[in-house]
Amino acid sequence: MTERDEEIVESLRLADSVTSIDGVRALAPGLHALVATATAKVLRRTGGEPVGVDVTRGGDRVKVKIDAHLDHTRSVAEVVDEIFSVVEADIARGAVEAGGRLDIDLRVVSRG
Amino acid sequence: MDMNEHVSSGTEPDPTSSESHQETDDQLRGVIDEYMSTFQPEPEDTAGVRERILQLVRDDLYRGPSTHLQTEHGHPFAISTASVRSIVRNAVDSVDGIRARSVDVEPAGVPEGSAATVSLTVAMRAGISFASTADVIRRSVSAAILAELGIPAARIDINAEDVYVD
Amino acid sequence: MFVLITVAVAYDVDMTRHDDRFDIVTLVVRAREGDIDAFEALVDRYETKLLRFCLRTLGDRHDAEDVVQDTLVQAWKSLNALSEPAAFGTWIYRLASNKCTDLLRRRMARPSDVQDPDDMSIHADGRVSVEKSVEARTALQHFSAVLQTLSSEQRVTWVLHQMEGLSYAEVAKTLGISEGSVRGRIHRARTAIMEGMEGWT
Repeated sequence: MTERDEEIVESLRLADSVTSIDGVRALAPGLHALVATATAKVLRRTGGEPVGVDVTRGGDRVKVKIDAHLDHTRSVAEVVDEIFSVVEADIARGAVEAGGRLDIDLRVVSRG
Repeated sequence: MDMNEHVSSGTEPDPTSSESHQETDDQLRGVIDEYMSTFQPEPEDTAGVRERILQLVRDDLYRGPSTHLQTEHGHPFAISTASVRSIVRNAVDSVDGIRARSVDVEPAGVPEGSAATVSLTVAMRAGISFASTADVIRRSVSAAILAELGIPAARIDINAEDVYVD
Repeated sequence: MFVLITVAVAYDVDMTRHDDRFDIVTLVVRAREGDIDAFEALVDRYETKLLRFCLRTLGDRHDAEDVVQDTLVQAWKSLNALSEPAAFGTWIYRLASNKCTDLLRRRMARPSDVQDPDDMSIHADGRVSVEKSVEARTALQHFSAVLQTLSSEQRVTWVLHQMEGLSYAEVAKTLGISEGSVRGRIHRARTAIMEGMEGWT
């Protein structure tokens, strides 16, 4: 598997974890995933939805980009904190390969 | 317009006179009314257009600007500015006699984004006393951003800019 | 045996907000800051009127829907350009009028696309006139054809005044032209319509 394939698999694993968090309604395509790239196509699940999580590596950093739609059930900060712990936990258990600094770029696209 | 009638009476009609316009309008009234009733939008037409407009607007909103905040555990996040304003607007609207107008929420505190500064303008129902209501608004907004965002309000500035009558 | 399941929906304060009763200034100020509910209320107030105006001006459902959709989406994106929120109504009619005028001009630049081409004869000077000798035609159909011979500006101006019921002053404000220009256009439109309808009323 290429490094990019590996990142895509990790994105899918994280997406699974993040979407199962209470308060996360759905994931949204990241802004750069809206561009019709091969990555976006690979990230598409059978439902036809782009995954909304993008793992990339550069230098000594792992960058995790997440665009999420939340609902009203919990405060935004609570859900954000849980997203962070879920991502960190996935890295701790090896679902995502650890490597240097972890940058989580999280955007709440909507809340409703 | 019956030209013969005017010629025989020895006068030329003034085509820009309002009487002249009135005559032509009357004759045309029937066909104009028929034309107008033919071109009436169907409810399905308006519903379809409405749906397409709102979807395009929603898509545009998703690409809109973000506000950068931070949870109390130090986790930074961006949130669509429209969502943040919506939380404040709802809190303001829930105060009797007050309608939110312009809402601005800026990251504040140390580290920046751990609190929020809110500036807003409102319209008040005629008869409402601003002095006593301002505090109610502040409490409502403060509680809402803490409960919905999980971020405390550092400051809330309110300006009443208009009065409405129900 | 029935099992009745009641779903409790958590209504938030949105349901108690009466956006449909908010004044125009409040709606516009909120909409331009991203309040989609406020924008929806504006759409609800103006959509049918705009659609009717465009239908009457353009005489085509599909074109009218496209213009109304483009107008309202453009309005959403450029609400900040509206310096007086209270003037939203006039502004939105102006946006729609301009789009109608553009569409009519494009149509007229392609006379082969004009409805009822059999009834149209193109004069040497480029004017389109309507043949009178057409059998079994209603006054309404003829009237529609006559409207199509008006210039795009005349047509839009005439519909705003005659069918939408705007005064000369209101039309002038909507289109951003002088009242004198409005009078001139309407006079020329009436003349053309009267000539075209001669023998039909």
